[in-house]
Amino acid sequence: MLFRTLTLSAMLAVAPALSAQTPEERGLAIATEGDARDQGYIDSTANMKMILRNRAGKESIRNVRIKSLEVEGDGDKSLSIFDEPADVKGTTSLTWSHSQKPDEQWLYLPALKRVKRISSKNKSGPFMGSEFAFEDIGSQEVDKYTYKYLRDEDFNSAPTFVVERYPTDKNSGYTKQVVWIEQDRYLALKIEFYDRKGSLLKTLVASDFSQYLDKFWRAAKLEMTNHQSGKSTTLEFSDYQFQTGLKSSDFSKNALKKQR
Amino acid sequence: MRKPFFLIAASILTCTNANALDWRGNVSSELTYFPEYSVGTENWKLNTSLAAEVELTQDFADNIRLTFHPFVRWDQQDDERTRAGVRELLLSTTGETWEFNAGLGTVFWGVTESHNPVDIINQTDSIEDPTGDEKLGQLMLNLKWFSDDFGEFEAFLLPQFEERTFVGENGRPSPGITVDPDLATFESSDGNDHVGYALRWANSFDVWDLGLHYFDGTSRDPSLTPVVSNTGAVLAPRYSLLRQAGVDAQGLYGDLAVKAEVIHQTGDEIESHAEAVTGIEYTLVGFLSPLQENEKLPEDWCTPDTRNPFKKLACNDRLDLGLVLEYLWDQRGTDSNQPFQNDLLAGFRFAFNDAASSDALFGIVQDLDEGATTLSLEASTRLFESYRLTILGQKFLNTTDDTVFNAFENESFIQLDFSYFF
Repeated sequence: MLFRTLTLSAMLAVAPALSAQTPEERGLAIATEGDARDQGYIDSTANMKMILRNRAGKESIRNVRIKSLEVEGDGDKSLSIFDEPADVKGTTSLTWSHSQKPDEQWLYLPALKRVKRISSKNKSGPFMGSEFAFEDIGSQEVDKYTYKYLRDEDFNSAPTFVVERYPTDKNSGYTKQVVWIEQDRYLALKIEFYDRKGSLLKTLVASDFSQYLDKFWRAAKLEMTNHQSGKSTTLEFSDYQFQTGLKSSDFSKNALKKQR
Repeated sequence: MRKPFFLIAASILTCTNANALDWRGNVSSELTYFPEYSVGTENWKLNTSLAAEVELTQDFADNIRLTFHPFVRWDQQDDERTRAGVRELLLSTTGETWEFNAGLGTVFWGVTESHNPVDIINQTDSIEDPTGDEKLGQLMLNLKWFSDDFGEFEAFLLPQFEERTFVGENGRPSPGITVDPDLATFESSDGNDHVGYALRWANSFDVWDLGLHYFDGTSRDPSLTPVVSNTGAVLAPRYSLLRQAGVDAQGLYGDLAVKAEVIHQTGDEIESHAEAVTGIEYTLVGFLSPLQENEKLPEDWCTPDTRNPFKKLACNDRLDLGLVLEYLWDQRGTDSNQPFQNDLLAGFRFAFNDAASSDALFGIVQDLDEGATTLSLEASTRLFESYRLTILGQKFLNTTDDTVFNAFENESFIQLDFSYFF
């Protein structure tokens, strides 16, 4: 039954390509299908361990708890609560992502009891000193890119669609990204990021996928390698939970001070 | 009265198992060097100090939380700074649209970087931190109500007043003449027990955040009068009663933040007057990256493993620069009991966005009336995962003709702080 659903929807996405669909239309159709398959998660929580590695292989660790809330007709809301390193313990960020207008972002600094509203324009800046930029970890809305289907290709012996996407935000640090999307499950297995000069900057590889509530696939491991600096960052996700009963009021500015 | 309350709190904190106890804290060691000897106070140039603090939080059921934040400090030179105390001992209950807090608490109001005239609930613990960022706990009953449409309403009842802390007779940086807290006088016949209250409303309108407040109680900022006591000349603090109304606003236009804080104070003993701080903060994200992207420069001029320190800095496309420009004003001019009556601040904030979360803030405050210049530097970096090294310096220049700062001529200092966080 499950097999049939997956094959059928994969065929639906591929079938129109046989008619007069342009590569741009096909790219968008693939992205839209991928997004549709992740609708309805309502809310989720997870622990994220971030391992930063410099060129010499020296590691430094961050631990963050993440809570997300699906917002119908707009971007998701998310909270990140920092547990490690200890000097930033309790620091919490709140993001309301939007599909039509700029995201809104706040930061709570526990030592000063201060909530600061911060600019969300800083897309290209590094997230917590890692090789992930803010735009890499933010909510991936379909509208944030334009698309172009390139080809079918096997990645790690899984058939994938290879799609190029171009950020619509002029503050993006990238000119384009090339995404390998697994045809069965519509999961991004690999992304190549090209910088403003058009050179290959980073490669992201996602692995160890698990399915939750018989529907939502999440990677337990994301590996980002910066080809220009030789540094890399691994994100390890654990303890994923869905539909935990989080409310909109848990993602308010007021609740930001109360996280722990 | 307060002591047994701590003990009860501590025993509740240690014997509940329903929810895990959560904490954040640090142990810090501080070394301060003054290149000049002080005028008037006992002569020393070097000070060491050790301190520890921990903020414990314990949740009971879903919506009740107890926060306990004690601290302790030992100071080599200043007996006033050697002490222990509690910054927070607060019981909080929350509902979907409301929150109630009772006990010793800390709240922050404000948006500007240099100085926050609207931030009136808590007393400044100036002996702890010469920059004035550290606050003393305030005994309060606080009720908050919030809605998506109307914003956030808050009422505070403040049953007890905390006096400001001042460096002792051997403490530095010092204005040369010691403030004697034992000589404190109050306009209110209830003294420290005068009950104050405050109201605040805050809401967001698109890119603007707006706050309005009203406060009625004892001034947090005493006037200091020289008196001759049996130990010589000292300053006696006088705490007047006042009423304060104020506005704080911040607008965020992409990388540009526009900020303002305005207050009006009135009372029987203080001159009715307005104070304001207003300015901008503009962030240049990865401001050196155009050097890397410039096609006229050779493709490989920025190599990641370069040993050339100039190249290393110039090729750092992760470095953000924040430019802060603020104007500080007090209607009373040089009669004001605070130093920022007609001053300009220019600040340069560097965020390195590296694994050690390194940052540096350079600031220049120029007094436009009396000519004094204050230079400040605060830079920090993480070491060995759980430690942080901070360097803090202040240099007072052109102090000769300045009524406030001429006493600080010899008080420029540099401080190293090495802290372990847990």
